[in-house]
Amino acid sequence: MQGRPEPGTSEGHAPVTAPHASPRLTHDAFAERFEGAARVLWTIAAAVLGHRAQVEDVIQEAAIVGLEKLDQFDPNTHFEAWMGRIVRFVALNHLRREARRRTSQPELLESVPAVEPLDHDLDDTLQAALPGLRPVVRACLLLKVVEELEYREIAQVLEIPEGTAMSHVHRARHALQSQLSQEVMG
Amino acid sequence: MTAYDSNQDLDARLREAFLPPDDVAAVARDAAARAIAHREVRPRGFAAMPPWARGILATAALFLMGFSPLWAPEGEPLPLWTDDTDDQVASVDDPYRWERCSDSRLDAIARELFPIDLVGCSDLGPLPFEQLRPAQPMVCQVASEDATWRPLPGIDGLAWLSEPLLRLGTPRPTDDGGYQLMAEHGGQRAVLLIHPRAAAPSFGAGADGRLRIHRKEVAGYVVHELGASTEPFFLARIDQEQ
Repeated sequence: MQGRPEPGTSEGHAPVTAPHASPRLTHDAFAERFEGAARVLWTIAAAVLGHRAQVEDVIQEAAIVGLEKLDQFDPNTHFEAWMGRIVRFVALNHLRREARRRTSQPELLESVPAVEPLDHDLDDTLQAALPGLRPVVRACLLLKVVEELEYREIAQVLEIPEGTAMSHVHRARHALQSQLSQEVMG
Repeated sequence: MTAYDSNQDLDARLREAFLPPDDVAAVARDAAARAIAHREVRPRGFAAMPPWARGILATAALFLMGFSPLWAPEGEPLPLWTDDTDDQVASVDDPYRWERCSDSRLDAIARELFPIDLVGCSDLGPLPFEQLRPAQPMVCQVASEDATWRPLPGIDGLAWLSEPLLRLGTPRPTDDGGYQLMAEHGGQRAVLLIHPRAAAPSFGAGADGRLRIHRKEVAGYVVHELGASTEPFFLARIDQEQ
């Protein structure tokens, strides 16, 4: 249901009109595709953040950004890849804001009780090891392990070569196992 | 043999930690619906004016009402409305009083009291700061846009705080033009609502257990209404998880 809205019709929510002739998603179609991509987008957000605590916030913000930029999306292209890029961008911005806040207010960190762990569901060893991986590497790993995507699909969603996706997963596993083993043995 | 010697074990731990929740589709559906609602809410009237025009009008209105924060001597308390229907001036003993001061001075005070970036969500419009205080001794925090709360330094009443931290989610637009935040405290959750139309009669500490924070524009800044000055401030109510 990604049809081109007819001029002058009221198809659900207000259609997004494009400045040129290519078809554009309606708001309803966007919502439908967004829901369909929920698991992949959720996993990408969690991978970039490195935890699950703020994933819903990222998803919400990404939905808003996606809707604002909807006229830039070609329905004939891969929605998950396009939306995944926005999710990555929004999640990275979350991380940057968090980092900026921490570095710009160091004195506050001493005067304020420590913030609770961001993700109670994440075991301590994983929580310590995951930040050592780059976000895109974490994303490859989680899309492979959690969502069980094929490397071809991971490459498509993350807009990277398939070989790179395979390499990222392999290296991520190796790095995590190495770190976690050291921690367990230590 | 360690706990991480096998891919299977590592994968199991990752799945356990990162498996999307069962309702992830509903989360996405709700997010898209809110985004659509937010997209379709267009500012009208005063809110649609450029900032400079709003500033002039707000200043003129304050002047006509007897308040002149831009020209008053520094150090004097800045009156706050007590509620939407009553323009009484809050007590100067109010621990939350604002000083009558210049625009830049107000900015400096705000930054002193709220030592965080007073930035809004780039996609949700400006959301300056919130000042919350519950009826029951629980929390007194300032929320930043990035969902971090901090105690208010130098504000009376901190002694009765039993829990210093409250976690907030990112403000999300509501279909009536306000913002909604999910607050989590001690395992409990509450929905906080912030609405830009302070004059709407239905706002306030709602019987429905939800919070609405009013705001007034003063000298170009948004000050959230704190409630009746003669009553304990009721601005945050932590309900059981919904």
